[in-house]
Amino acid sequence: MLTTVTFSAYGQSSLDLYVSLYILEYFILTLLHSPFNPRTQKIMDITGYVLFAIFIIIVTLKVLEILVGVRLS
Amino acid sequence: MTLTKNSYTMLGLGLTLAGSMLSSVSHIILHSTPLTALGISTIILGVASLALSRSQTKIPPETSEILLESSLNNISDLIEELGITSKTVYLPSSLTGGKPQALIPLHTNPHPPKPQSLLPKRFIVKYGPNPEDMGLLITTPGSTIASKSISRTNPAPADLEAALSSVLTGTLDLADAVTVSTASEKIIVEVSNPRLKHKSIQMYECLGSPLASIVASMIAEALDKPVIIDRETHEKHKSIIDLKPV
Repeated sequence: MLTTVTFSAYGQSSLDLYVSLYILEYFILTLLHSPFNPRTQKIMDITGYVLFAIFIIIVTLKVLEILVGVRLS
Repeated sequence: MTLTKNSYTMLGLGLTLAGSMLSSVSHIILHSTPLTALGISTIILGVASLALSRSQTKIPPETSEILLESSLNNISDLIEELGITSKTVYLPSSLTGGKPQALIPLHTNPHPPKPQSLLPKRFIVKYGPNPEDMGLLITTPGSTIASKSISRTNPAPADLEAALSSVLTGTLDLADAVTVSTASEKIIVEVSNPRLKHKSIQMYECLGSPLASIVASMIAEALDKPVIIDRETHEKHKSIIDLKPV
């Protein structure tokens, strides 16, 4: 919530930036609160893999954007 | 029916649905990036809540407490009736042939017993060559969890700490943090904010508190050595348990 308010106040309109920060916050918070119950940990791990994949896609698109010079997303 | 009982599940489903709707509407109709981002963050929170709902127990905590208390009362009555004052030795599964168990010597001895071979699977066991080497082999709260969660590990404090933290703060949620250190022959386990309260009863003098008993069983299993609870100190927000390998 704070991330959204802060960045929208600064007029950020890039969804990639918001999502990347949420993913980063997710990993930091889960790491700080670990270890979880094994059943919870399993779901957290799966969510982490999905979010990491999204993060990699965002980074790849940004790299391609810089290299090719065409906005892909 | 199960869904309505679990508040985390309800919260998770609510957040996920609200987040999905908010992000879709904001992206497609409103074309607002901050609101779309807010929707996405709500979905992430919803999924985290759904994950947390899986850690809630099927048996209510009050029921678990009643079951634990009644079984501890039975052991307490037995120990008081037999007038046992000697320290309990926590044995690894390699000496009991199944899960880690606790051996209560029937006779007080300045040196704690150190069984060398596999003990028979009986309640009253003979653990040494002398006639007075008799004891009670009992299952403690730590026996079940230690056999399920602990594997043989390096006796280094950091490895023991990782193994204990995983069980006490993760699986059992009995404390906030665990630190392990060694001093001469002792293993000192410091448990922060333990949930199980300590009482001054004779059984705890012999067997140790339930928390110390769980820790001792896990350390015995991890080290594959018998251990005794040398000393227990309970402060406001922490318990310090000194263990001694036999």
